[in-house]
Amino acid sequence: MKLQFNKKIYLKSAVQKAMKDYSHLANFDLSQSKDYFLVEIINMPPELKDVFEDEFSNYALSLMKK
Amino acid sequence: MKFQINSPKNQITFFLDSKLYPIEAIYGAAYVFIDRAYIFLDGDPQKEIIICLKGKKKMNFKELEGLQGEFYNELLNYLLRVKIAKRNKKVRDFIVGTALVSGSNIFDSSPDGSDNDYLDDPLGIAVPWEDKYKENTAKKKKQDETSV
Repeated sequence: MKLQFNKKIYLKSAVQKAMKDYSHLANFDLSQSKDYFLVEIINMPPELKDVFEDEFSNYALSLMKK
Repeated sequence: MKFQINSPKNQITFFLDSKLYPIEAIYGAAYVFIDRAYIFLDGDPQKEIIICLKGKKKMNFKELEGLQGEFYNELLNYLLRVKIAKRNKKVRDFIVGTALVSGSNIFDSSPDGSDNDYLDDPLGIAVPWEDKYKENTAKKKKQDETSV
């Protein structure tokens, strides 16, 4: 599963920090297209599958305000 | 206001004109909703921002619409904050700058350039207790003597 973060809205540092802070739960791979940072989530815990991506996105957004 | 509701996904998507709502205000409003909804931002901060709110608990059509309304209200709140912050920026910077400069000069020499020693007392503040309350203590002593 790949999450997309618009480069004009999300800072790379915020996405990276979110990846780092969630690294104990899953593995991440960051790549980028022209307009988006692409975060691939690998080995996502099955019990958190429903909320993991959403929570991760919210966390990345919350880091934008800091 | 154009919006799309996707009930099965429990989410509402709407669009904001970036000329009316700066991205800072959108971040602020989004942050307030972080405990109630999952928020996804997309679009172009120079033109139009796409906001997608996905309820954390199951919501019906009306509730999702209400969520959007509340988001607009919060956005207005943050819009005002951003405007005031911009308007007062110079004054704020001046106050903080003055405080920092005056704070950094505490241990330096005095503003007129003279090297005052801490024992110097140009304002005459450092009066010993005994000298300052000499008369009072003398009166008290007399009173004590007479009362005894």
